[in-house]
Amino acid sequence: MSTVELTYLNAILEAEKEEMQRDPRVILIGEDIALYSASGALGKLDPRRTWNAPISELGFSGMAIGAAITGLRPIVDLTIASFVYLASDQIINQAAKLRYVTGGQVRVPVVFRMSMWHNGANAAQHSDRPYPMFMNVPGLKVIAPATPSDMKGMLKSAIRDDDPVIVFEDNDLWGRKEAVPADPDFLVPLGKAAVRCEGTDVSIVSVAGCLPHALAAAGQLAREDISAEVIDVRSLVPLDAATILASVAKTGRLVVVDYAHRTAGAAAEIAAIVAEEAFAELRAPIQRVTTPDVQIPFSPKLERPLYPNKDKITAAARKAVLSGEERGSWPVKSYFRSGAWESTKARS
Amino acid sequence: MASKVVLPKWGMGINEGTVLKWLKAEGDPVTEGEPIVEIESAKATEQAPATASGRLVKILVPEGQTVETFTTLAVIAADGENHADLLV
Amino acid sequence: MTLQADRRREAYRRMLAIRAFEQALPRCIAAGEIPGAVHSSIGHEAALVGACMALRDDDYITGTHRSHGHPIAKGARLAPLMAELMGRETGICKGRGGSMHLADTSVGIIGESAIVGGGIPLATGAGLSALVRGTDQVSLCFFGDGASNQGVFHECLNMAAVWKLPVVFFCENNLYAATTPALSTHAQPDVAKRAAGYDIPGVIVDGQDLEAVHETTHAAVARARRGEGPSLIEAKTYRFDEHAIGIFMPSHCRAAEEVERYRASRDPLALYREHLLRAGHGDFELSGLEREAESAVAEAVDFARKSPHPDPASVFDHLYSNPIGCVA
Repeated sequence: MSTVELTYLNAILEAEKEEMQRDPRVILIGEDIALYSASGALGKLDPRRTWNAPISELGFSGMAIGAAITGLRPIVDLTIASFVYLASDQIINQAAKLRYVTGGQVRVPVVFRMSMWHNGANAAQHSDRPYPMFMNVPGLKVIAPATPSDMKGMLKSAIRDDDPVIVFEDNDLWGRKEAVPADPDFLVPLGKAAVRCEGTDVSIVSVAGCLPHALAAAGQLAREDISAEVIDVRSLVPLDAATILASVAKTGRLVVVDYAHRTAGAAAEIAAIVAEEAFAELRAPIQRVTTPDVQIPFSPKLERPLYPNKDKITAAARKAVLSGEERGSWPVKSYFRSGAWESTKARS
Repeated sequence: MASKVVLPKWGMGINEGTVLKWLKAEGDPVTEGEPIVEIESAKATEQAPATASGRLVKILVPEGQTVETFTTLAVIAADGENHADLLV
Repeated sequence: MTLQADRRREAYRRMLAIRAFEQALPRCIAAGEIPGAVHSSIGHEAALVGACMALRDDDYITGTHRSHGHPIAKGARLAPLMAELMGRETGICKGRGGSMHLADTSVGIIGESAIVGGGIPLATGAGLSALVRGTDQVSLCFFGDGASNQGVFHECLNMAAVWKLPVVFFCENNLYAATTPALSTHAQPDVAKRAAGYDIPGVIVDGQDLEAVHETTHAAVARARRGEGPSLIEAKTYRFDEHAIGIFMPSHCRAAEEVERYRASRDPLALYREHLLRAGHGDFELSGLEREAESAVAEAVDFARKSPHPDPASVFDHLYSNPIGCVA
């Protein structure tokens, strides 16, 4: 398989370019996109394929939905993720609901792309990581790729999908490079997590751009003789619970790492699924490493310490492993294994 | 006066960059505004200039290394000037 | 352009269908057959049908929460609409949409939005889509006076004007946003004047006069089809019933005399009947159409009543086109 070295940012552009060249129904709409089209980065295109929009996020997002229903496959570039709130009425009330309220009469193949600009001294209104809000909307698909190959393959899958897909990019990853398959039909399916490194003592489930920190933590833990398995969820809706549950069944310990705010975040959902489905497998309480519930401050000295990082993840993993060992094994497991739970259930 | 050369922030959303090539070596004289290092960011490759005139007394980030924006890449000082406080 | 005789008959038939359809609902609601609120289009018939008679079958429309009249005006079959109001499996939206979402895509409806103003960008996007695909389809957007105060109305008028999109923005100005008089919430009373801000035609038309609405819309549609861009039409109309049946909303916002005056002298069906008689249609012919409308609605009610309710196990159907779990 031939590959080409691409940054995460260029992987986005390549995916868009390839899909726009392949399928005349794909159009691009958003603010300042004339920069791309004029530079030739998208290849030679009819001018009607790119729409350099006014500052009207709600309007042009809704227009993309109307265009999707009537035969196009628009990509909406919302640039910075904090701007999605302006467009959210159309995304939530129309894109997510139209197929359902029409009893399946329409398809809504539209992609909303946005970049999460945290960690760059951009302050509270440019630094949001709002993917959990959209996980709460049935009808949408929500992805957050963390490598150049995944970004290219999943964005292409999103463009070819017949449902609305929100693609969250992490701008901290823009400069990351790797060899990306050059095949224009290289696709990474939506809804499949990736095991990035195998381990037996603790499962570290990484959401979106937390991946490099999770891998660094796994490296540190290995030096401490703790074997960590790192799972990159990649897709939040659909969420690949099976891969996460299989890992927890093996390790008995779970750390979830998530850039979103703590309350009702992606980590909370993943933790809840594991608590519901795999309680008997757990040997220690689930640990969440998230951003605390505070607005993102401007000062890097205030901002930087808020986010998940290698040290926080390592500490959480140690805690999970040690709390299990200190107690021999967390009582829950023996309780379930002993059959006490079954007898309780039979009585109630 | 001794001066730091930091990895510039060339745009919103650019949080890191890679030192591609030093155009000057340690010990070379430099003039303020003169390009001294080539840096690749996610969006472009650009040259960063000397922030003062003097001598490039210390290179802190070697070629090929990726660092965050505002990381000190090098120090420029006049001959005999104490620049120890800039090296930390 | 005035309508030819057969098109006049069709226009009257559609107006009668809307009227008879809406008039059948209170009995069904009282009998517990229609759950949820119902927003009646009675009074708007000339505006709806006059506009749709200027469109081709393959032209697009979007509608509003007051959604029953739009599909009927565009030529939809009545039975699936009535079945939808009763929440049945045979409903046009398979019991997922109900009264505020009677969209029938087979007649070009791409959405009936219960979010006020929500259909405006959808219609504008359908116009953009037609332009990109190189068809000469036109997209007509129905919205109310209330929606003209939403920001997205202004965003879309601007974009449609900048990009010369084949869109007709059609305001059903019935003078009240739910209970609030438009005069108390608009800086000046005419929605059409807002077109000036976007340098596009803005036309006021008597929304109770079918021929006038048709003529005005026909000109706007022709302009859009020629690639000359969007227009804004404001049809001054009136709803004869309260905002909605089935939700508590005090009715004293409109003076009883005002409602009575419109019903007595501005009824679009009565006005068009007089027009048809003057144009040479006989009373016998028109009475026949009136009886046909009644029986068509009775058949639709019968069909709906006999239709099955949706299977609760099917509740997840139609959420996704490529369902989660079996994605590529």
